[in-house]
Parts: sequence; structure tokens; C-alpha cells
Amino acid sequence: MFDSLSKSVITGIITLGSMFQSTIYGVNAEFSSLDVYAKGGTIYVTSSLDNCFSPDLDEIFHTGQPIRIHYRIQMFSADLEIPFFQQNVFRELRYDLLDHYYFVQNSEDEESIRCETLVNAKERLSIVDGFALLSRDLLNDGEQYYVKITAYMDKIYLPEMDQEINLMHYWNKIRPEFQTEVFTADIFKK
Amino acid sequence: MKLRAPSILTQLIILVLFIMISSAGFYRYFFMESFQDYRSRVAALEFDTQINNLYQDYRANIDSSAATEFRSDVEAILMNEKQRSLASKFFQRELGLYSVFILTFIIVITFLFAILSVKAITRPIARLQEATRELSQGNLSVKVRPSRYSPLNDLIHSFNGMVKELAVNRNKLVQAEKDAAWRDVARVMAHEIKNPLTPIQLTTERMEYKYLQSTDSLAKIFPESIRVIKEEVSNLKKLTVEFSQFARLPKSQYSSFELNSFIREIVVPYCDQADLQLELDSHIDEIVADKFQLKQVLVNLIQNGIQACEEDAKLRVQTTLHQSEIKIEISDTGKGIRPDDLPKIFDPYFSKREKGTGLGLAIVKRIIDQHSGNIDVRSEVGQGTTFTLVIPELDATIDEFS
Repeated sequence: MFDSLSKSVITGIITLGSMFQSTIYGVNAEFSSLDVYAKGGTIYVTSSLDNCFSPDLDEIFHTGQPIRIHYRIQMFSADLEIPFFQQNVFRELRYDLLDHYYFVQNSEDEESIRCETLVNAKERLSIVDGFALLSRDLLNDGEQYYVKITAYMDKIYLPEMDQEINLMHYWNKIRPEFQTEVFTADIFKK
Repeated sequence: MKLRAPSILTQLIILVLFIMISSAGFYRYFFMESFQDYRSRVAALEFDTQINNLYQDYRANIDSSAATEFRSDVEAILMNEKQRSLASKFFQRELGLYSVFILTFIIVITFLFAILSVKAITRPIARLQEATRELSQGNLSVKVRPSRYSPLNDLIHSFNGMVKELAVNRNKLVQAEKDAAWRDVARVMAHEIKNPLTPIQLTTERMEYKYLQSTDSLAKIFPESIRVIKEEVSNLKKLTVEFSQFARLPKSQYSSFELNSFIREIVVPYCDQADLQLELDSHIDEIVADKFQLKQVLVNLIQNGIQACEEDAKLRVQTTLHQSEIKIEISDTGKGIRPDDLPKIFDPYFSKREKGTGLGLAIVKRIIDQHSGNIDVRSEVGQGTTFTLVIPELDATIDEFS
């Protein structure tokens, strides 16, 4: 009885304390840009996520556990709140503990890219470059649209710690997002 | 500036805080630092580097069919090691933070508990202090409530017992004083009543004798006997009035009047009995007092002064205003009062005169006390006596003072 009481008290204290202070030092990740352009009848998107890595995340990378950043790209009609088109992509980083290389896998590509340094790997991890979003034909002339990009990370499971780590804590539990100005489909000339 | 030592409560709180903070510091240093040291030493072993080197050394010698499996196994070991290291770091960080939470909680709880404990100890002391103060002000009904957990309960019970005993003794003392006072009154009354009764009895017996003898002298002694009886009855009446006045001095009825002219009116009937000299301060305007009672005081003192002078009585009545106080001095050139008698002259029933009740000056003193004033006497045997009355000058309204 005393055990359960003391456990409850300590858990209560930790829960209460965690409301004011945490062991996780998060960063405020944010998109610096979102470019939408058309090329050969396809609309492409390029974006870059800044300030998205903390020292703790670097250490998690070095455990060899694959870490994935998801990007959700949505096209909205200006009059509707629901996106009429959406695509998800991801960038995954895996550290090779034996050869000390960093492999970045893009969801759009079959092969992963090998990076010599963590800086290079993180650079690739945080960029969505020339992603083919949709065909220009899906847009109606004269209608207004905007594009929104959102990033988030999965929870990971570390067997040795026997616990899940919600990587979003390192972004202060905030999904960074960015949206373009409203534009008309006419700007993408056929 | 004089520095004062902090109270016991403050000292105890500082002591408890010191112990708690020292314990927290010790805990942080001894456990957390030790744990950090241990972790650093484990990190220095560089398990992952050693495993990696082992893999690099043996990879060339392993059959290519088993190389993939070998690599996978070594990688799994390394991943576990990395995760263990990361888990250890996170755990230490959490431990540090959570220990701060728990220590803060313990400090707050201990602090509150210490304050409550100290209060529980000091509250009975405060009650005792308050009770002692009330006791010193004469409240013998005071009782200190015992505290269930206080170690001072024995003291509290002793104190309550002492107060109870004091109350019983005071009641006994009051009763004894009352008895003594009644005995005094009875003695004085018996003496004072007996004095006029003796001449009355003798006179009536004489009249009876003359009547029975049927002598002619009856007509001669009758008026004289009646005069003696009337005089003694008058003395008895005066006696009862004085006793009555002393027993039930009426509440003062304040009014504003001009003092100097008031004194001039009072002394008129005595001008033919003594050489009266008035020295009245013209700066004194109106005063607030009970006119009837003040007249009683002045008449009493003037009569005393005249009676103290055997012949050629000289009296001086002087008024002065000094620092918001009005001083009235009545001096005579009589025989004076012996130094031994001076402290007793305001006591009831103290009199050096044959026909005095000893209540006159006692009444004067009570009236002056009722006016928040003061009466003083100076006397030299053979030279005379001076009574000094000091009455505060009251600039308040009559209603307020009443």
C-alpha cells in the first residue's frame, strides 16, 4: 500500500513538474519557403525546412535507428477548407554504425543517397526539391488555389530503452507548416 | 541602529531551511555527481569503437555467404550499445530534473510541517504569555486551554491551578476586607451615635427628675434641655448625612462656570470668621466641573482651615493656571498637622477632632479623584497647612466630558 501510495505521489509530482519544465530541449522548426511552379504540364513544389535538428536528435540519429521526416503537401481550392489534392513524401536518415556513413532515402527514389557527413545528410533530410505534385490539367482556369506543406516525424521505438520516443517533442510538439499566397491556375500556362 | 536577535520561530525556520538545503546539496553532489562520474568512465571504455575494430579485423576472414549476417549481428550489437548509452544519458537528465521536482516538493512539505510543528509548540507559549498579561491586569478568570500535543501541558495545568488558587485567595481577601470595613463602620457609628445619646439621656433624666420633684426650676431648665436635645439630634442627623454621602457619592454633573467668581461667592459666609485673602489668577476663564461637588470640596477645606486656627484665623485662597491644569491652594495659619498623621488624613473615619466623623477629607479626595484631579497637602506644626487641588483644564465640551 505504501509502495503504491509513494509511486502515485512521485508520479503526481513528476507530472506536475513536467508541466513547467521538461528534459527535452525542443526547437522551433519552420519552413523558409515554398515554391510552386509548372514544368511540362506538371506542377512542382520545392521547400526547405529550417531549424529542425537539435543535439538530442543528432544523438538519436547516431543510434542507427532510421529517422523519418514526413512532408504532406496539399493543394487547396481557395473556397474550400478540404484539400482537393494531397501527396505525402518522406525523407529518412539511417546511420551506418560500422562504416560511419549517413544514408538518406527519399520516398520518390528507389536508391538511397550516401552522405559523408551528418551536415550533408541533414541538409537532404530537410529539403523537398522539385517534387512533382500534380498535373496542370487537374486545375481549372480562373479558379483560385493555394498550396500548403506540413512536416512531422514518427514516434520511434528504442528496444534497449524499451520505450517509444515521440520525436515531435523535439519540435515542441508543433508541426511546422507553410502555405503559399492564393493564386489562379492561369499563371501556369499550358 | 540596534540589531535584535531573531525570534525562536525565525531561528527554527532558518535551521530547518539550512538542513533541507544542505541535504539537497549533499544529495546532488553525492548521488548525481557520482552517477555522472560513473557514466563518464563507462563512456571512456568506448565499447562501440572496440566492437567496430573487431568487426574490421575479422570481416575479411569471414566467408562472403556469412558476411551479411555477421555485419547485421554486429550492427545490432552496436545499435543496442548506442541506444543504451543514449538511454543512460536521457535517464540521468530525467533523474536530475525529477530529483529537483521531488526535492522541491519535500522542501515545501518539510517547511510547512516545520512551521506547523513550531506553531504547535509556540502557540501554548503565546497563550501563556497572553494569560500572564491578563493576570497582571487583574483578570483572575483567565484560563489557558491545554494543547493536545504540546509538551507544555504540565506547565499550563500548573498555571491554571495557580490562577484558580489566586482567585480563591483574592475572594477570601476581599471578604476579609469587607468584614474589616464593616467592623470599622460599626465601631465608628457606635462611637458617634453614643456621643449625642449620652447628653440626650442625661437631659431627659434631669427633666424627668425635676418634673417628679415638681419644682419651680422645671420651667427654667425645660428650654435649655430642649435645646440640648435638639442640638444632639441635629448632630446625629449631620452624622447620618455624611455617612450617606461617603457611601453613595453621586455621579458628577459637569457644567461650565467661571471659577474665580464662584470662589468669591463661596467665601462670603466665612468672611466674618477669618481673615480671608483671595489671590485669583485672572487668566483662568471657565472650567468644567460639578459645581455642587466642587463647592462641597472648597467649603470643607475652608471650614477645616478656620477650625484649625484657634484665634485670628487667616486663610488664603489662591488659583493659578499652569500647563493646562488649574491649581487651587487653600492655606491656613492654624496649628498644622503632625507628620505622622499626614498620610492618614484622607482615610475614612480618621479625625483628630472630638466631634469629627473623619469623612470630610475622604469625601473631598473622592470628589477630586472623580474629576481626574489630584489633591496634595503640606503642613508644618504651628505654622499652618496648605491643601493643593489640581484639576485638569477641560477644553472639551461638557457632553464629551460627561
